[in-house]
Order: sequence, then C-alpha cells, then structure tokens
Amino acid sequence: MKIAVNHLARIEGHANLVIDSARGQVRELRLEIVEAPRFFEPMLKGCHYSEVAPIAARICGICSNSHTLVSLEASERALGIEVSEQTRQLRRLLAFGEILQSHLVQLYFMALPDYYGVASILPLVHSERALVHHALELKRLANDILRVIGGRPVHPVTPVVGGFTRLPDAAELMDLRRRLVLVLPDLEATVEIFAGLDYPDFEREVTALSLLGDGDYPVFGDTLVTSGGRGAAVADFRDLVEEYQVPWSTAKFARMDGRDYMVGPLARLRNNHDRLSAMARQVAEALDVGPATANPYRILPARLVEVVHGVERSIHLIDDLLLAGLQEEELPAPDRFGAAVAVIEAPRGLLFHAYDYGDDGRIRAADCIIPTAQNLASIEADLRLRVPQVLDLGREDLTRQCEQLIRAYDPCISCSTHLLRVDFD
Amino acid sequence: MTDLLIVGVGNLLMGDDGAGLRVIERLRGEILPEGVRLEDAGLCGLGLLDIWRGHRKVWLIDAVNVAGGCPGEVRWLPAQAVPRVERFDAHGGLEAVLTLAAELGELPEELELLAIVPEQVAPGQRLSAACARAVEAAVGMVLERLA
Repeated sequence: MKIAVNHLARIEGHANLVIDSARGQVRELRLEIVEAPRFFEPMLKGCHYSEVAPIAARICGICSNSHTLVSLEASERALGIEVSEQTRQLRRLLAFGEILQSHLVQLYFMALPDYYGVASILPLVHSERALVHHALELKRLANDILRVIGGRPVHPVTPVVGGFTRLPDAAELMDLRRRLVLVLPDLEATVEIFAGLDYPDFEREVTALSLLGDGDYPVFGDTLVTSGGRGAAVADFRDLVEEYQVPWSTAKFARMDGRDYMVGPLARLRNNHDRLSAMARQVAEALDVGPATANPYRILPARLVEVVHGVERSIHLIDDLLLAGLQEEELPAPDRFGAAVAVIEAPRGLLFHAYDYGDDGRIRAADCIIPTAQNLASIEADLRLRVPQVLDLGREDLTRQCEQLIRAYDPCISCSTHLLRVDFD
Repeated sequence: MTDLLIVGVGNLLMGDDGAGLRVIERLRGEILPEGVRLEDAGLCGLGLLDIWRGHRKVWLIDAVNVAGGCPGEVRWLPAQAVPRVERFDAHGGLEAVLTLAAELGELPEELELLAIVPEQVAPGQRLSAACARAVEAAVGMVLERLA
C-alpha cells in the first residue's frame, strides 16, 4: 500500500507524508518538507543591532514575539547590556501572551476538528457555536496582551535592545488582569472537553529537551536540560544539538547524541512539572500528563496545561508590575560588540538565535535553530513506530491517525525552512 | 469620510509579498482625512478578526495573484472576489480567514481589497521594479478614493 498525503492539512506551511508498506512492514516513510527554503539568516548579516529584532519579528506571524524576544536577548548578551527587572517581567508577559495565542489557535482550530471527526473548524462554527466563540474570545484576550505590551498583536514594536520604547498604562494592565481572571472558569470547561477526548493509545520513549526553569516554569534561561537529567549551558548548545540534512526535506533536521529528541509543550512539562503553577499542576493531573508521559498525542493536553499556567502567571506578573509601579527607564548603551547565543521557549519549543557582531555594531554572522526543525526527526520516528501498529485500519483511518500525530506537534514548516546559514568560524 | 480602517498584510521579508505593507508605510507620510486609521498587520492571520473588529468599513491591501493580472498591476476587488475555501487550513491564508470570518458573521460590512499583483515572492526585503511602481500607484489610488 502506498499512501501519499500531499499538503498535510491544518499545519503551518507545506509538507507531504509518504508511506510505502507491504505485508505489514513499512518499506519507506518520509515527512517531506517541500517549501522553498527561506534565507533569513543572511538577511540579518550587515544589520545594525537596532534593526535586527524588527527583521527577526517578520520571520513568522505565529511566533513573531518569540523571535523578537530571543533576538533582543542574543543581541544584549553580545553587546554586554543588562536589562532591568521591569523589562524582564514585561518580556515574560509578552512571551506568555504569545504562548496563549498560539496554543489556543492550535488546540481549537487545528487539533479539535480531528477529535470531532470533521475536516476543519468550519463545520464546528455552526454545530459548536458556543465553543468556537469561546475560543475566539480567549484568543482575543491573548492578542490584547500582545497589543498592550508589544504595541501590536503581531510583529511587536515596543521591545527594543535594552528595554521598551513605550510602557503599558496601568489601566490597560488592570483591564487585562480583570479579563484574565474572568476566563479561568471558561478554561475549566475547555479542560473538561480535552479530558474527555479519546487520545490514541501509543507510546514511544524519546528524550525531551527544554530549558530548566529557574524557580519558575521556563521561558528564558541559561540552562538546558534533558529528560534524562543531563544539563548544558545554553552557550554550549552546539555540543548538544547537531543539525543535519535529509535529501527529502528543505528544512534541516536536528539530533542529540545521534538520536531524535522532542522540544515543545510536552518536553517542557516533562522536565519542569514541579515548576507549574498550582492550578496548572491540578489540570495536568486531570488531563493525565506528567514527567513520564510518552504519548505524543498527549502534547495536546500538555499545551492546555501551559495555557492554564500562562493565564495564572500572567495575572501574577501584572500584579508584580502594578505593585512595583511602572517606571520609565533609559535604554542602556552597548559596552562591547561580541558573539552570543540566547534561547527562548517559544510556543513550539526551543528557539535559538546566535549572533556575532563586528565592532561597527553590525551582524557578521547569524544562526537560528527553530523548534520544528528539532521535532521533525521525532515526528518521523513516531510515525515509523505507529504506522505498522495501525496498518490494518485501512488507508483512510491510517492517514487520519498519522495526520493527527503530526498535528499534535503543531509543526511550523514555514519557520523551519531556513536552509542556508552563515557559519561561525 | 470617517471610520475607515486600511490594513496592509504580507511578509516584509518575502519581496513583493510585502507590497501591501509598503503602501501603509507610504500612507503614513500623507495627510489623511480624519477617521482613517492605518494598520500594518503583517502575517497576522486569524488576528485580522481582532484588528477589524468594530470597524464597519475596511480596505485590505495585499499582494494577490489575480488571474490574468500582470505583475505590478493594482486593482480594487470586492471581498466576494476572494475565493472561499472548503476548509480552514494553516494559520493564516487570506482566503481561509475571510471564509471563517464569513461563517462567523464577523466580516466588516464593507470590505474591499486593493490587490497588487506581485512579480517575485522570494526571500529578500526589496520589491521588484514592477511592484515598487505598483506601490506608488496604489498610494495614489487610495488617496484618490479618500479625496
């Protein structure tokens, strides 16, 4: 049996799935990334440090805040700039806003149709009207967090090297806080829906790689950690992560110790379960996801746990900001021009930006490693194990199971097709 | 004319795909009638629903492959000219967003599209010569309608 799913649905970007099997054995399985590669890293070459983040922000519409924030941190590390606690808190809030927005779109609009047995969200607009409107309300709140803090719902403009060019009003923050508190009961209903879904029964042991939270569930950080307990400094990430190419993909794959690994919500949750907010930990229990979860279909509930954590932490962050009182701050100037790497836990997982600055304050070399590129090998390995288990389901159900599995990772193909890179010496 | 939202969409890093955003950039330098608001929505996808919420009248400016169009051509199209899709797919194609908005009853009452036919959608921040001229033409067409 040969199955070719051209243009997988409900993922960001274009990818094909090819499965060739005979007598219960999979002869060939490929996740083909066919999008033309994009050449973002060379575009950063020659850019002044003030121009880098606004360009990084345009790489992707779904995770433009993560690209901006990690870009700023990489630049600041390279330029010897320390930012204030207020800036760190505002950036954290922005990161949570994006995690909420991205996760909510994936959960409701991309994943849920699979479990309702429909081809897309469109039929649900009529059959599950309240649910869809509730999803849009939640998404609107996430958008407003991004707008209030970042100045725009996408491609933020207020965060710059050293801090922010505009601070939110206290009244705007209070309004966000009020609305965040109000959505908590609605989220309970969402948790009930996802607790009742019939996740396929499938497990595969895979190493989870994430940041190690510094007393909190991680967004930014200096230490990477694996589910096996191995740690590494972010600055040494190249000792851990190796990118490689496969002939059927314009996106690079990545491996660790020669093997596939997983990044993203489930990887973060497995490695930082004890750092979740109190409510998120309860939700994790209700949704049956924890440090030992090995079912990739359960990335969905892990994502929802992070939504609950994000709402709760956002409320606390706003409280802290309001209590301290927002202060206008001067933007610090660079005290050196060097090379540095930074990482953020973007909605889909670890996003690395590494820059090397020349003495003129312009980029000499840049490198970005995107979460989806790191998950591609894990997705393929899952499929290799899963497909023989469900071969007798027949073409249609088998295809659906595979698509569902791929979608659980929420791959962003457009983001991952950064083929060309300017190498560091 | 009051309460008009003009929204540019596209990717600034993909050549002519950023044409709509360049028009917004250029319009920021013009004196516009009161009540006209400009928005660079970039790759906002579903976020359009939030951006145009509360606005009765919206003009979208985007790079669009218009059938039979020549690169650099600029054309006003009614929102109905944008094909509806069978499924809501990916995070952001304009067709998918308009389809979902229509299903939800969240399309602005008056929605028009100023379509700029791209010549080259490929990585890079520069517009093709045809599209650079088209941006000027589009700015003129917007100003003419606002006059």
